[in-house]
Amino acid sequence: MEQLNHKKVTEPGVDKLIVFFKAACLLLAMSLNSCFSTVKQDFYLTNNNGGYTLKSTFGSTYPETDSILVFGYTRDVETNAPLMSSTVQFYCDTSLSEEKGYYELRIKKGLDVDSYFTAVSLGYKRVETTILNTAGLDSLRIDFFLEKDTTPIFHCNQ
Amino acid sequence: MKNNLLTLLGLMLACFLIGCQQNTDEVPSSIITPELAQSSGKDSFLSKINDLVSSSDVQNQIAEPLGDVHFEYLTYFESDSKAHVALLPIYTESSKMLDGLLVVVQDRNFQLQIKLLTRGLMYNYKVLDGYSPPLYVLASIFTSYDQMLFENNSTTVEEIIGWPNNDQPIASRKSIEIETDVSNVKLGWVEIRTCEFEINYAWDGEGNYLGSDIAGQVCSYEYLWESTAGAPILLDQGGSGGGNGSYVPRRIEDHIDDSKLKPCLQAVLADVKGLTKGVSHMINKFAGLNQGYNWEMVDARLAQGTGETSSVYNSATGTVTSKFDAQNWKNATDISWARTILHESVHAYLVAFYNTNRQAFLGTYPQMVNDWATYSNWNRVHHEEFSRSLTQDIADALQEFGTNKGYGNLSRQFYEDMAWAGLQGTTAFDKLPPSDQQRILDTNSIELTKSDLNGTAKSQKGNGAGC
Repeated sequence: MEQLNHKKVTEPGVDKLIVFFKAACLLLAMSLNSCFSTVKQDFYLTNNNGGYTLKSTFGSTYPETDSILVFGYTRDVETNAPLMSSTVQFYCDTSLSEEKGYYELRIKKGLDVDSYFTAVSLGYKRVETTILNTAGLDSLRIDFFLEKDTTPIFHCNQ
Repeated sequence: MKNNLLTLLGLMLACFLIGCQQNTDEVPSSIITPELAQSSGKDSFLSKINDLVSSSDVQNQIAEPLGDVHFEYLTYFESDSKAHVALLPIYTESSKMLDGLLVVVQDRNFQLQIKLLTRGLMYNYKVLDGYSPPLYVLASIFTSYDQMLFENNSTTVEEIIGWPNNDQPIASRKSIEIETDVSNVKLGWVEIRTCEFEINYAWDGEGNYLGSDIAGQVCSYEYLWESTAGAPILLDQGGSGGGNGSYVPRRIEDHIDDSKLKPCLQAVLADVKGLTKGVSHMINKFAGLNQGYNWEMVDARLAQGTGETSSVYNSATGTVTSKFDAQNWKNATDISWARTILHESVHAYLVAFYNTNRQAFLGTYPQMVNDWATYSNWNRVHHEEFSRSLTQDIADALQEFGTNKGYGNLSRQFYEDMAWAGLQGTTAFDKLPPSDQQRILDTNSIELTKSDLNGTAKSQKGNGAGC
């Protein structure tokens, strides 16, 4: 699965510092389960041959004080090609994916709401997640995989 | 060090920007207003251009009604060959078609003639506020008889590819290359059009020549230029100029496989193919850009309706398949089937376009993207688009079909009603007054089944298709 990719250029001394910090952070995470804790990452099939993956995080990776960052990609389930101009929706909030299929949504933190996310893309079958409770999350990555709609174009009446 | 680098980059950027500006200014042009044009004695020239861009000749060339003509943005200059040359931005009504450069030349008889160089090509590109890129009319007028603004050189190569026993050719493959030199008006570019096609010859049993038939014509265009100032802008390449570009237009009617269609529908299709406002014209007008596709039409038994088009595109063969149920609609008239064929041809076009260039499709049909979020099925989304922008074009084609068949006394209302078939339930249809909806449904039912919606037998306007 594709990860967000940020290329960094640092000086050698800084590299060592980062390695040290990561190791310390890992140890801390193992003991305290707090530095960067991924709680779930699975592929969920939907009933129309599409699906989605979830990866939720707690902690300070995305230090938004009052919102949860929901982000990810929309892709063709068969070819893995990015789907631009897909609409991802949660309640009334929508986000349109850009050229590489990436989208971002910010939803209010601290709400105790149960709802689902949907991804819709022209020519593809809609994918809906199961009901998700976002309470307590800092960020949520949902990658949507949609199947092409190959239903013929017909006429019900004349 | 860092500061020095930034300074250097800044200088390079400034030089680049200045260079661009100078290139633009190299065009020997000046903006003239209509008032100035009149005072400078060029009013008759401008008047001729005005007449020309609103003439049916131009309308037929660009296949879409023109919008405003902006004389205030006309660029005028004298060329090296002492011809008067004008570049005039014009807009289509929908402002969505990017169709190229109309070249208007005055010939030796002082007749203005027009020529569409290609799609996606513009010279001296400008955008006015609130408009998508315009078409440009390049007009010219000569100061003397013997100066031709454009020089055409053609080369023809013909290869005989089939011989019968008596040594008379039955087929040949011909290639024609036409080079149009427009460099002598400081536009600095050359158009090379190359067309290839096959010619089938017919002979009688005694060796007498009966005639010939051209099949499978394909043309490509190439543009060559040297200076930045003279470079046309190829919109298909993202708006930037380059060394050359090409475009291969296709006539959809020449790429239809109807071998699996019932003879009765083959006959209707043959008449539809002969329409000037038929499939290609309609799609060019609807789409602005014709991506081209191979269309396979097959006979089938359908669960519903008269026609159905697959949303699957065969990328190996470039084919979209539509099915037609001739058996279930034995009373349908030729007009009814012609309508179905025209209707399905646009479905097929959209399927091909979507599957060959999804990104361009999204940009061309943003309303369909929105509709998909609501309806999430091709059926509804296509038909919503049809109801917004296609009914008049289908009505035009049907009217021509009817006229050709000798149904000259049928009203425009009848053809417009027929064009609404298959669009029931769309937003636009539901907005029609109930009485109009009822009339449309009855009209289509009668042409399809010989009876209205109540089942009352009615006489049909068209002739039975014989299916």
